[in-house]
Amino acid sequence: MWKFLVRRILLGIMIVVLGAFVTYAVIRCLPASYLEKMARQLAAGSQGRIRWQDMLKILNEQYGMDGSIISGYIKWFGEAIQGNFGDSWKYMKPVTQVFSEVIWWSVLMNIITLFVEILVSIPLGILAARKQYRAPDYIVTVFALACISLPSFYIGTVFKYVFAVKLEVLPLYGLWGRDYNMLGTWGKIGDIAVHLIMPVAVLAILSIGSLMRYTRTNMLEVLNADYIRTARAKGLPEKVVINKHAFRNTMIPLVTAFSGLLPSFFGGAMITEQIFQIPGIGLKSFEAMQQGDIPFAMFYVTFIMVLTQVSLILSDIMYAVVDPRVRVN
Amino acid sequence: MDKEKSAELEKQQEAPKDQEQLALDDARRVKVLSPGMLVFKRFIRNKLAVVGIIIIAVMFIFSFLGPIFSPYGRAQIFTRNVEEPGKYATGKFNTEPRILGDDSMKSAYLKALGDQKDKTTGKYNLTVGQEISFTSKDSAYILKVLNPNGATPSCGIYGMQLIATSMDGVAVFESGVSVDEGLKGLITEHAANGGKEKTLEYKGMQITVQSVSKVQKKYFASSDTPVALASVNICTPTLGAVADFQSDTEFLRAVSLAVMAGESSVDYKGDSYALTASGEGTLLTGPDGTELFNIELENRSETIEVESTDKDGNPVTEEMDFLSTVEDADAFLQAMDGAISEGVDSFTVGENTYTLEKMDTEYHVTAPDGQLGVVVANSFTPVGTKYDALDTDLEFRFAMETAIGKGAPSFSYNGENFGLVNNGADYSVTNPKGEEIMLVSDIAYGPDYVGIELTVDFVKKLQEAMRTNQDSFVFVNQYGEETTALINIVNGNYYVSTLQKTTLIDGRAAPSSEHPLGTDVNGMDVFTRLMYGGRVSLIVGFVVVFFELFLGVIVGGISGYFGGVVDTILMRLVELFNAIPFYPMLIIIGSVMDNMHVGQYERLMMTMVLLGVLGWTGIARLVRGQILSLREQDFMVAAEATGIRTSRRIFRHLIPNVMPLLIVNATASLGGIILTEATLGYLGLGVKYPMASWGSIVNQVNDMQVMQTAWWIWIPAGLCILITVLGFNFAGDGLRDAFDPKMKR
Repeated sequence: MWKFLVRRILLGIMIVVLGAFVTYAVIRCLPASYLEKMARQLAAGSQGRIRWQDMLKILNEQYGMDGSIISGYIKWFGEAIQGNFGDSWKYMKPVTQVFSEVIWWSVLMNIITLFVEILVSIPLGILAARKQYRAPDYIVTVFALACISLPSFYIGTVFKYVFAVKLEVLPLYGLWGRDYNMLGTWGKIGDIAVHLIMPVAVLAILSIGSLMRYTRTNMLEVLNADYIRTARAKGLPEKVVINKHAFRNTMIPLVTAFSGLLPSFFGGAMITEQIFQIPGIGLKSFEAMQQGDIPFAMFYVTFIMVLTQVSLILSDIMYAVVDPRVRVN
Repeated sequence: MDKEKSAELEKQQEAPKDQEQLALDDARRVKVLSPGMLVFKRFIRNKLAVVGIIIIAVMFIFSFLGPIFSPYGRAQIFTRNVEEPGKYATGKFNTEPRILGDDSMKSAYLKALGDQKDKTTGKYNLTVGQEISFTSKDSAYILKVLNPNGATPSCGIYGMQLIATSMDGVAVFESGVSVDEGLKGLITEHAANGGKEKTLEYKGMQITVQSVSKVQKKYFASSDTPVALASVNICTPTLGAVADFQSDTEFLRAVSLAVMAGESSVDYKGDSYALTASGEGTLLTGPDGTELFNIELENRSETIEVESTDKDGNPVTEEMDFLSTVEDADAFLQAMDGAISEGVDSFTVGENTYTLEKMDTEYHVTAPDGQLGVVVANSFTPVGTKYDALDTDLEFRFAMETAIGKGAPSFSYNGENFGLVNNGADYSVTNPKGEEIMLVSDIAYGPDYVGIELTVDFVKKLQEAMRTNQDSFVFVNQYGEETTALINIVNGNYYVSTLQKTTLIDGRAAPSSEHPLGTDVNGMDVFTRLMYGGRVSLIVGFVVVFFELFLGVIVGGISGYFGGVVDTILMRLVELFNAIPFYPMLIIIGSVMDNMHVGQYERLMMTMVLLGVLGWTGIARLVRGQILSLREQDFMVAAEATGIRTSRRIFRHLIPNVMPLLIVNATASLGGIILTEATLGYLGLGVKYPMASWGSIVNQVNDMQVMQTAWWIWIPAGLCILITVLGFNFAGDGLRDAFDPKMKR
């Protein structure tokens, strides 16, 4: 087990290092005039305190842009491993500082979404499995497929149109109301909660589809197992059979599925945050990347890759922990 | 189901009758269906899958056949005409005198005039003809009051001549100025005594003394040369018909021909114009008796080629003006004029004989070597403009302003008597024939745009409206159309606007019979754009899926078949690609393409390649897994035993077995790809205007106004995406069930 874990972690590190290199190479393959353009923009932003030629020199030096791709990458990596990802070109402050300022809003939103998602999709998935090939099953299947097929930007905009523009019951965008600073503690929490209703609803709708289908498939497998038949044969009430015997066993694959949610947990929901202007990591990184902010893009891409690898390793471990029958070879 | 069963039952019942000799284990007794047919049967039994297939088919017909029947183009922009008040002209009551002529003394003049203002009443104490001297910089002037009435008087300004400069009491006289001995003595004495008088009188002549500094004085003598006029009045010439004829080439040609033929009148467009000889030329008079043009012959020397030799003796061709090559140009011109008036066709100057030829409206003079030398043509000098330039003629204006000041009904200038008609606050000037030639008013005006020519009628109506505080009036504009003008007064400026026809882009028009889904922000038909957008979205989906299949099958096939090190390396590569986050990468590259202004087609290609490169790993994994299990099966052992090529074993024996799974996967992932492309389009990183995709149509919703007021732009496009993706997911689900009935949906 330990041997496997060590090997898996080493592989993960290797993938992150190589993936960051690929990303770096892609970004570095951009035409040279791009960096010049960026330098001009940044120099213009400094209101004449720095000439753009000097800015270009600073950028080249800071990010190793003048050397070869490999040497530049080594330089970037050397800094990055010490936690220094450079200054964001868009926000004009260290990338990690921007990150720590906004990450918790994304995490908060995703935690709430996760609860909503579980509360909706697992019961529905179980219902669909119990009533296989009957009306509830078809309805749930169509609903799940519709959720998967929904473009996030579209459902978000429709929500905004219906609830904010037409009905005017929910705020259009943002995380805080106009009078946020005048509210008391509970008022503030309530204000944020009201602002989070639509983003959370959108995120939940987008993700319940797959979780619902996953639950249904696993539940069907479990329901056909011999021990369920045994339980029923013992004369246990159907409620106990489903909730105690069947559902607990369904949990095994579900738990491993949850560990795969880690990247989306911390990576933010780029499009939803953009639609509702939630100042989370998704929106910030989208805005930065859209303006060609290389330091921020490198940081964000690396961060997501690390998260992905960690989640994969975690799910391997979880699998072994939850199901003792799993033997690593 | 029931029908099928009953059909089968019937067959079974019929079978014994027809084929009684069949044995119990005869293969013909079993209804054999090919595997493909089985899959098909299972597929069409699934209602959701059939719905999916219908959706896909409808979307394909809509996107690929729809545009053929659509009356509009992909990027056709619709416009509508509106009548809106547009800026036309500005008017203002002129209170500050305008200096006509040399205006370098303006500030000094204003100061001198201001000195004459009564401090308590704020009125000027001036009389007609009063003279006041003032100095400005190195010059001295005399202002003569022409019109003391009104808020600002009108004055004529006369220049003075510097005759002497004194330094420390010693007067030095300007050279080139003849000064009377008596005056000389007066100035010398004044200078020597350090006289304090500002003006000196000598034989009716006024001498102005300017103290430049304590030790330096300048002496100016008055003169009668007017240099400028200071007046608040604006003159508008009203007689200006000649210009219209000048630009009419057909008219000029007709007149030219008549002059050449020596006729006494020309008929043009039903009017008769008289031609009378006057001096050296011919005078053209209009049907109403106004003199229009004086027509004279004019020479135009042509450029000819002259051959000569350069310093090395090589022949060179030079282009020269013809007249400069003629030895005695004066004699030549004289001979030519003589020949023209006599009507002969050649003349001789010195040894050369020139031919004179009458060509249409011109005479052509040809040199002995055959080159065209001089062209003689009629030139038209407008005579009607005799009264046109009067508004800038100083002496005329002096006479007029004086007449206004005195309240006289007429004044004379250049021996002609002009009438002055008082229309309340404004005046109009008439020429000796009694025709109105000029409007005089202190109302300044000007057009707001280049291209607007203010007609006399407009000026008259504007002045009248401003005097009587009207807020609108009707006038005839430069195109002869009756137009309504509206006046808006802001800070003493009278802004005149007219209703102008403008063509606007018909953006965000609500659905109508013409545009079933209205128009978008750019004024394009949404319904038609949806069809073209569907083409792009569907094509992107299919191309990307094929690209993914291509990459995935090759990598997965090789990896699965060979195993070992190759497998390890390729699978690490797959993991690597899997690890690279999808959207951040697309956004970075999209924003860079934005920055680099990549063309719309290149962009589409790039988007497809990127989606393919970032999405092939799933298929590679799938293929590898399948091949790993298939490789161990007996038929592969058999294939290996027959000794066929490795590539053939992979692509002929292994891949076909993976095909069903690939089809299922490709169908299911098509929806996802269309979704991704739409998301990119929504973020503004997909295809660019004027190309359309469903995502980029929804992109317009980022404009708050579109979201709130123009649902027809974004709701249908989003629905198209949703329904198409749903169709692909339904079909993919159905296919999965059909291929593998054991697997649970």
